[in-house]
Amino acid sequence: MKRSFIFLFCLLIFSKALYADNNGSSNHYSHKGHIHKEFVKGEKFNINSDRLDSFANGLKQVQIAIVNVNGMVCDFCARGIEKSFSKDINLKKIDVDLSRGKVLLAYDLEKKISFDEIKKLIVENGQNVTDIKIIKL
Amino acid sequence: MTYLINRKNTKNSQRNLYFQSGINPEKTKNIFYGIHGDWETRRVFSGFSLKRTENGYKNYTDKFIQLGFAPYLGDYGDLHSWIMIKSKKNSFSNSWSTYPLLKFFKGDFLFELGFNNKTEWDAHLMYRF
Repeated sequence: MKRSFIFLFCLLIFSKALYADNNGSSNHYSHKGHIHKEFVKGEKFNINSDRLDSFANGLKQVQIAIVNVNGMVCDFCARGIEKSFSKDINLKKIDVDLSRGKVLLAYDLEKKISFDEIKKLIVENGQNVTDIKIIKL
Repeated sequence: MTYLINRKNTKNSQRNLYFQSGINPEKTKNIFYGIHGDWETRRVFSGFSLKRTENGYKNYTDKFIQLGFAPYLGDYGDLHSWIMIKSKKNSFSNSWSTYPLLKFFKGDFLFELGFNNKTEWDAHLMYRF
């Protein structure tokens, strides 16, 4: 049992070291020339304009919620987000941007977008929402 | 039963710590309990598990540590690949068994495959419903 505790201790130290290292380069997935820097609640809200244009292509009379998500590091884990939101009949389209940690949701204009509802669905899937921006087309 | 003890989400990482346990309803002496944890970014993965199984006559402990990296960063929906190394030990054996492991996922499917001389094939297939 003593060896097990030593094993766990070493592992935690290792994880902490990696975690600290990762925090130092929080924007290393960004690509210059493709970022819109807008502000939500005083913080930069980086939007990939090419991706947003591609997502909005063919959509009319919709509102797009761009959701900043923390902890969305794995495609397989993010699948649950798509499955949860796809149950909403007002949802027209969804896209997940793993590199910037964003979920794009296109809804009918009639839909009253609830930050709490979006937050709840994403938390249930294991991630956290930090902020949201809504664009009407 | 798997219980989430702690989760930490950041912009580029996720860390989880779980407690897991189980009991045989027919033989209540047969139980297992342990902890499982992982920390990952899109590029790096580390995980561990420690599990104790008690059945009244042969009690044992399983533990493993797993480290890996993604050679490329795929977009949502792409085939994602991980190169990993796993080291595991059962309290019945005297040494750790270490072997390479490949993990792939695409869409709702996840496939993991490893091989070593002692435990031979170590394969897992998962589908997300």
